[in-house]
Amino acid sequence: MRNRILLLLTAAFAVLIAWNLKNILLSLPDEARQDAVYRILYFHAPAAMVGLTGFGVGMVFSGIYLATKNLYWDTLAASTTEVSLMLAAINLVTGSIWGRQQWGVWWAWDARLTSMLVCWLVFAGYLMMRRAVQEPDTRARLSAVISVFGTVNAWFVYKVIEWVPRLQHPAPVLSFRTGGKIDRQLETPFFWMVLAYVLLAVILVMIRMRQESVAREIDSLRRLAHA
Amino acid sequence: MNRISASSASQRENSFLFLRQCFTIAAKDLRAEWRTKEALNASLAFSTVILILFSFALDPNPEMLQEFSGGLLWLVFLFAGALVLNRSFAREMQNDCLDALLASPVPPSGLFLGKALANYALLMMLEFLCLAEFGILFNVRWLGNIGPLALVMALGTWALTVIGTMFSALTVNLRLREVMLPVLVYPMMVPPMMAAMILTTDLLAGNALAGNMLWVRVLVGFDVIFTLLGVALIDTVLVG
Amino acid sequence: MNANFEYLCYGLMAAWLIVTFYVILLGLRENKLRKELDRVRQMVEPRAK
Repeated sequence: MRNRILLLLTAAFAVLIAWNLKNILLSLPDEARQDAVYRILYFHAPAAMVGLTGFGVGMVFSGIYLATKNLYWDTLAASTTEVSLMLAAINLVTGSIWGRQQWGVWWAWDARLTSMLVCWLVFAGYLMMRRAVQEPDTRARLSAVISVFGTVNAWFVYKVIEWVPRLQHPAPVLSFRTGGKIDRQLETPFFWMVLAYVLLAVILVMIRMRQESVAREIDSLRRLAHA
Repeated sequence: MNRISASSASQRENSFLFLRQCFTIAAKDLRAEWRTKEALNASLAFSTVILILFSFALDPNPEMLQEFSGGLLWLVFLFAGALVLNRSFAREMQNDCLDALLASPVPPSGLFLGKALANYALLMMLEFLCLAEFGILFNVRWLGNIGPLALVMALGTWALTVIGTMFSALTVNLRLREVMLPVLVYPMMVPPMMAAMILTTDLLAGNALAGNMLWVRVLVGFDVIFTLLGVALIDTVLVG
Repeated sequence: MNANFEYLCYGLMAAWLIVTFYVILLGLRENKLRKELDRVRQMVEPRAK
């Protein structure tokens, strides 16, 4: 049953990404100042949105683990964080390439880039720590604490740098944010892209969770074998 | 005595007890450190070496120095501070001291705050010594602005202490403790370090604090939020 | 769609490479887990018999 859902989601993702790519690359006009390269936005920004949401969702799952002490939630938190780390990496790399073309530099210390980098480093540390602890309960406890600290810190970093005027990153562009004035035609593929990333994240988390349940089965069989 | 004043009196007693417990733990740690001076010597030597290396590598003239003096100083504090913070909970691993402490009447939050206070005292001592060395090696005058500078150092050091003590407790049982502590602490320290570095650079250049109150507020906000988080979550880390 | 096409390509390639790299990582982990599962099952089966 689970495999069928997985297959369905993967098919949906494939169709969506193919259709959206076609739209982005062929149907949209070139932008006034940036010509073709602005299309990186469609890979860069949704990755950030879904990635950061994933970190927040991971923190919520960690909180649920702390409340219920059910290891399933800890596994879910770890899977979500790992996938979000991948999405954050996409955001950082595409942002860097876009920045190199637009501003002439590979990196700039502005609000969003820095908070994303700090987030990435904290949660990479989270995964490193998980590998260093064998005992599942201890690992879950410590991971939950790092997750909470990391998410609060990421929010803090973002807010702080936002107060500092270092204008390089473009202001909000989406129509539902204050100050956003994006063209309707350009905005629709953006939302489809967000959906595509969400689908991708869900698929990868499901695969990860399946691997974790296999790992738990191995652990229990190993305990049985050595008993 | 009516019930309301009895309960408020007992609440006051409980708070005094809690504070006494924190100070007892802090005093214990400081006494242990003062007798051996292990962490203090190691971090002082390390910070001296780093300062000398930076002085070699960068060889700054006064104009250049005005731009990154704060950054340099806080980098040194961070690196040397990690040595002190690592020892904080690591020293309790011998002879099951940590288990004894957890079994004692001191609540985990009291243990955390006590150790944080001890680390804070050690770090402040270290930092003033580093500041003196920095002034000598890089020819920077800092006595003029000592008041605001001390305030910035106090706020920034508390941020480092709170995060460092928390993660010291977290990594105490890990195999690669000495590596994991910096890996976890340094990214978390980005907001207060940013604020502290900007403020320190400005103060060392001779400007007043009033122009940068935003960054002071950032430091205070960070300190308050993460102290509360630390006190709330230390139970989970140490006990479960 | 002519100007700045080069960087657009690099950007898209980078995004896809990262996803591919992660999927390969998952695949390798799956293989390792499967082998380990078979090995442990073989350890337990003779006992059960």
